[in-house]
Formats: sequence, structure tokens, C-alpha cells
Amino acid sequence: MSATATLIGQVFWATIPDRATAEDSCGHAVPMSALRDESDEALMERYQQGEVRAFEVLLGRHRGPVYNFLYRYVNNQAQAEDLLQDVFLRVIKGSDAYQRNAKFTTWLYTIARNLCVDASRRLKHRRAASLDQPIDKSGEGDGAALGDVIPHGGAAVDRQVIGKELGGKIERAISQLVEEQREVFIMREVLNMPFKEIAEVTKVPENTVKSRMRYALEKLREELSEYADLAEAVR
Amino acid sequence: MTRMECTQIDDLLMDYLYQELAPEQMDEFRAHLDSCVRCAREVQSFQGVREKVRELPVLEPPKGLTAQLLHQAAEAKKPAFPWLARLWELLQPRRTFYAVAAAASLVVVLFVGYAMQKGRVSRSFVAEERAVAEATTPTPATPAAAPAPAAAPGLGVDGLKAAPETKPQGGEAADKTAETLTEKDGKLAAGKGTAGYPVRVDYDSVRREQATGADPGWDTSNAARVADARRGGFGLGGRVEAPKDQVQLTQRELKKADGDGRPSFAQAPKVEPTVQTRAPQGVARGAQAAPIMNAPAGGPAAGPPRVIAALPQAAQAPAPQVQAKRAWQAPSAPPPPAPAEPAPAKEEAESGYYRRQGGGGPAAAPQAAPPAQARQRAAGDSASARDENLGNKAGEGFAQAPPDERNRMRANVDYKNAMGVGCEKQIKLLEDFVARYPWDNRVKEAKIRIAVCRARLTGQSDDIDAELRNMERSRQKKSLHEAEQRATRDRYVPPRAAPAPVTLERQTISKARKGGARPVAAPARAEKVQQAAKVAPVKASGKVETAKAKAPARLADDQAVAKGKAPAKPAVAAKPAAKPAAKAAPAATAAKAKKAAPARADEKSKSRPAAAETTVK
Repeated sequence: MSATATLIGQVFWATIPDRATAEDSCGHAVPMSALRDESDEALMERYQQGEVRAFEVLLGRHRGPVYNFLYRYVNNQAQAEDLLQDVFLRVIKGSDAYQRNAKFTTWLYTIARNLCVDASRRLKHRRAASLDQPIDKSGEGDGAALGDVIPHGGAAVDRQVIGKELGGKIERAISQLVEEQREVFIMREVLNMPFKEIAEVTKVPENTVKSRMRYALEKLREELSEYADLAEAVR
Repeated sequence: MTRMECTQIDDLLMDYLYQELAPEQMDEFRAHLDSCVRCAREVQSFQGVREKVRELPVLEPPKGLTAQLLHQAAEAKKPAFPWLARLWELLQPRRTFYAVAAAASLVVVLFVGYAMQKGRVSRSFVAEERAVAEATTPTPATPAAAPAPAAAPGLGVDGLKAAPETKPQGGEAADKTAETLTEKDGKLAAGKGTAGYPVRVDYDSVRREQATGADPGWDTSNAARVADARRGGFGLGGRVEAPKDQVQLTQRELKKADGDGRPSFAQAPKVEPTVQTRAPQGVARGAQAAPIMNAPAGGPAAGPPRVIAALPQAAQAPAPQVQAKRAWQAPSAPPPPAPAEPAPAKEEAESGYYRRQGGGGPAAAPQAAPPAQARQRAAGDSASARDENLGNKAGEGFAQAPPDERNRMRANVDYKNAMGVGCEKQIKLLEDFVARYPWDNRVKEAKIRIAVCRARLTGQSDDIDAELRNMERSRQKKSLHEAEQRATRDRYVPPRAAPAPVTLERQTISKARKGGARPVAAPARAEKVQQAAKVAPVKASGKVETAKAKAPARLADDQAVAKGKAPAKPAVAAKPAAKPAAKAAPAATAAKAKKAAPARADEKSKSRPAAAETTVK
């Protein structure tokens, strides 16, 4: 009798599919490649139902752009890494509250932007030395900034070096943008996000976004004007 | 196409840079750029900035973060209660189906296994059902020769040798016996409560009785079996054997069957129609084998008697004796003795139990007249079974008990057996009980029950339970009344305590506090004090003497108050009474009273030693 009960029990449990297996809505297993073809919203919905592999796909799809956004926003690699972890932790914790009618990237970059805003507010209270701040505060020096002194891996005048120098200058110019203009510029240029979505993320009208973008471009154009000839030489 | 102005170009510049313009606007924009140098330079400068920005390297996040985040994601989705999650999954419709199917199969397997082990489900159930159906089919009553084919087909379904279909070569006596048996057993089966139970034809016992020259006694033995069946005893006769492979009823079924004496066919166990071929002794050579069979003896529809239908009819064979058999006989109950055997056992003869059936208590029992022969025999069967049951349950306690104790035990069993049965049977059993145990304290109750049952049978009372409830209620009321009377009679009445000694001082103080001193009553109070001092015992002399000593001072105070003066202050008893008097008196009078108070106090203090001296004396 006990053997019969054991056998029936095994059959009983065998009918229950493994929860670790990825399944579609009908309960069939879904390969990883099929998950990669699904939209962000579908993957998020799967993760809501406990499918960790869907989150893995989402993470692989968005971690790079989010990291670049964060890095361009805070201009600090360590802080960008911390913020990246915070962003996805918030996604994990808030996955149950996510609704599919909202676009995932909008939700994701809203989280990232809010974190960046918080981080920048915290940074304002710190008296950190700016790279553009003159080293000699008395004004008697040559007026070289901290960023000019920091070596960039050599000062050889070759293509690579010019490119690096130009890149540093661009990054510096981006970091000097006003926060509202910077975030719009990063979203538009780095993330290639449409103006409409940027407006949703930043919660401002679309025309405001466009005007901020224009101001940011004008500011960068001014900053990079002295490198115009250098840029021409690099080309 | 309308030509764009520069102001419009400024508005659409960002859309043009990032390719978000509609195709028509894009063409207009390009046309304007071709014609406007300023706008074209503006656009070119912005595109240069964009190209420089695009050259920024794309950074890769550290890979350690990915693993860490995946771990966090897995932990977040890990259920807090895994068993709850599994239960929830089980409740999903698709999985519920599997679970229910597995549970149902488990139940079926367990039930079948249990039933096969206990033999409750016969493997030849279908064949048996067919046999019963065929056997219960009404057939025309034919004399002796016809019944044989009626039961034979159904009884041979298991491949055993069936009863002979053709009429065997038999004598007229055998036919007649068979006919008699058919009739009697048919009655038994139809109306006496044995329908549906197998009846076994025991040719061996018939031959033994034939050899010993005993009267086959069909009528008598059948009557005994019928009586036994009516009593709800175990078995229809004395020779009931319960094959082990046959079904045994549960106690509930037994009780139900015994309750009304007519177990329904549905309650009857399904018995395999086993047909055993056995050659009876004394049967002439060539005669066909006589079957010993267990066959259903009819259903509630009172089908034709099938037992006799299978009887062999050998020419030289003795009259077969049908031994009704209840296959579901309780295993604990030993087979009661055969009807031909003497009913009272040795132990019963010693105790004189059956001689007391006519009435009278343990003392008067031996002188009681015996009842009728058949009734005694029937009662003897059940009594012996009851005694054996008692012996089995109580062990040696019953055998070693004194006769009176045994009788009490028997009375208990008999009264218990009389409960929960039909009215007719209950009347009979209770009458027996009253006759056997007139000394029992339940005789009165039994008589009431008998009366109630009779009333119910005659339609005078539709609710026997109501009668019994009333009886029980009155009994409880009576017992309660008796208990109350007993309690009242035996109640402990404590002796009345002696009155406490009069505390005149306290009384005086309280009166003085309440209404102040009353000058009119003062002499009377003084007299009372003096009387109390005379009456009070010597033990309370201290208080009395104190009061006595205070009395003159108090009297003086009262008189002073009556005159409008304040009483003496040192007098404790009069102190509260002085307040209203002092309020009423004029200030000058109060001052005089204050002056006079020490003098009175002196007088009082002088009077106390005198009183003390009196006490000592």
C-alpha cells in the first residue's frame, strides 16, 4: 500500500511543471532566443510573473545605455556604477507596480533621471573641486584648470591623442551644461530618444524639450569652437 | 509648396536635425536651406556639434553588476512561502485537474484493495446478481419436480456443479418433504425476516437425525428458527455456520436488520452462490449428487422458495433438513444449539434461570410455573446465546458470579436488547423481562413502555417518544423533588448565636451624634442605663460601669443643653451634641458655657473614680 501511495505521489508531483522553466501564457517552455525577440513590456510582464530570465534579457538590453546616460549625467564612473545598480534595483522592487500600458524605457529612464537628480542635489552640498576651477585661487597663476593638468594618457599630437583630447573637452562641455539641458541632450544624443519620450520622462512640454536641446547645442558649439580647427585636422 | 520663413526654420530646426519632420516639411526645409545662407550655416554648425558628440566613446558597465543584479532579481521573485506558492499552483485549473484525477485514482485503488481484502466485493458479483435475479423470478408453483430447474441455472454460474435440472429419481416421501420445506421456508423467507439470506441444505444433519431415529421435526425446528429470527438472535437455527469467505455484516447492519426483523434485500450481503457437490450418505447409486448450497432465500418481493428447488430427490434418501443459515452471523456469537437439543445449559440449570421464567424474583423464581414449550425453547436459545455472550465479555466474572449477580447481568442484557426494536417485539421482550425479573427496578418502566407500545400499536398514541419523554420528565421531576426534600430535611441549621453584649456607650454616642441630646428622654435613658447595668453580666461590667459612670455627666449635659448652655467639653459622648446647641445659644451664653465646662469636667472626673471603686467592690 505504501508503495502504491509513493508511486501515485510521484505521478502527482510529476504533473506539476518545474517553476524554473520559462513558460509562455499557455504554460509551454520558451527558449531564450524567443525571449530576446520580445518587447520590453512583454519581458517585464514575464518578470512580474516570476520569470527571472526575462529580466536577464531586459538587463542585457538596457544596462549599457542606462550606464552611459548615468555616466554622462554625473560624469563620474563610480557614481554611475552605483546609480546603475540602484536603477535596476528599483526596477526589481517596483516590478509589481509596473503597468504594461506605459513604455518600459520611459519608466526606466524616469527612474534613472530621478536618481541622477537626487545624486546631483547631494553633490551640490559637497565642496568638490571642479575640473574647470582654476588651481591657483589667488589668480596669480596662468589660469590653468584642474582638468587641464590631469594627464590624459600622453600629449602626443597624433590622431588618437587629438581625438582623446577632443573627447575630454566634449565631456567637460557636456558636464558644464545646465542640468535640464544636459539631461535632454544626453537623452537625445546618447540614447537617441525622441523628443516626445524625453518630454514624458522629464515631464515638460515637447517644445520645452526642443528649446532646451537647442540651447544645449548652442552652448556646446561655443565650447567646442576653439577645437573646430583641431576637429578638422582630426578628420 | 509654400516657401518657409526663417522664423519657421528656427522652430523646426531641432526636428530637422533629428529627422522628426514630416516628409513634406522636410522638403520645404531643405528648399529654404538652399535659398537661405544664414539658416544653412546654422544647421551646419549644429550638425558639426552632433558629429563631435557622436565620437564620444560608448562605455560598458562592469560585468559584476550584471550578476549581482540578476541575483537580486531572482531573490526578489523568490516566494516568501514556497509551499504557499506550490499550493497556489495546484489551485490553477489545469493543475487542479491532474491533482483531482490523481486523488480520485488513489481513492479508487485504496477502496478496491480494501474491499478485495475484506471480501466485501465479490469477484463474481455480476454472476451472483444474475443468479439472484433469476432465482427471484416468479415461477409457477409446481409440485416437487418443477422447482429444480428454477434455481439450478443461477447456482451454477461459477463453474461448479449445479443442481440437477431434471427431476431425480426419488420417492414420494422426499417429494413431500421437499414440498413441505418449500412452503415453510417460503413463509420464512417471505414474511419472517429471513428473506435475502442464504439457506443451507445440510444433508448430513438430516441423515444423522434419520439414523438416530429422531423426528426430523421440520415444523418444530422451523418454528424455532422463525422464533429465533423474530427475536433477532444470531442465526435462523441452531446449526448456522458462517463460512469464512462469506460476507459479514457490520454491527450497524446487524442492528438494523434485527431492529425490524426484516432486513431489506439491499442491506443483505452479496454472497457468492457457492454450490458444493457432496454425495449424501445413503443415496442410492446412480442418484445425482445433492448440492449443499448457499443461495439467497428470496428478496423483499418474496420470490419463490429457491432452496427447495435445488433439493435432490433421491429415492432412498432421508428427508433432507433445511438448515437456515445466516451467513452474516456475528463471529463473536457462537452458533446457538440445535433446536432438537435441550435448551438450558448446565450452568443455567444450576442457577434455575429458566425455571424462573414464569415470574417472581430470585427467591420466588423456582416456584414459578414454566411457560409454553415452544416459547421456552425459543427463549432458551436466545438466553443461552446471551449467557455465552456474557461469558465471553465478562470472562470468568460471569461464571464465578453469584446467581443473583448473574441474574442482574442477564436482566441488564435483556432490557438492553428490548430497547431500540419494533413495538411488537419490544412488547414481547419487555413482557418476558417483566416475567423473568419482577424484582428488577426497571419493571415499572418496562410496564410503562409496554403500555406505550400497545397504545401506539392501537393508534392511541402516535408518538412513543413523546410518551417516553414525559415519563423521563416526570421521573426527573420526582427525583428532583426527592432531592430537594432530602436537602431540606438534612439541611444544617447552625445554632443561633448568642446576642452580642449591649454596648451602651456606642449606642449613646450614635444617638447623641444623630439627634443630639434630648432632655426629655434623658431621665428615661438614665433609667435604661441603670437597668442594663443590672442585667448585664459580670463580664461586661467594664463597659457597663463606664456607661454608668458617664450617665450622670451626660444627664447633666442634657440638662445644660436644655437650659441653653453648652455641655461640658471633656465629655466625649456629649461633644458632638454640643455643636448644634452652641450654635443656637448666644455668644455670651457660649462663653459662659466654656467657663462652666472645666468645672463640670472636674465633677465628671471626680465621679469616675467613685464608679471605679464601686466596680472593684
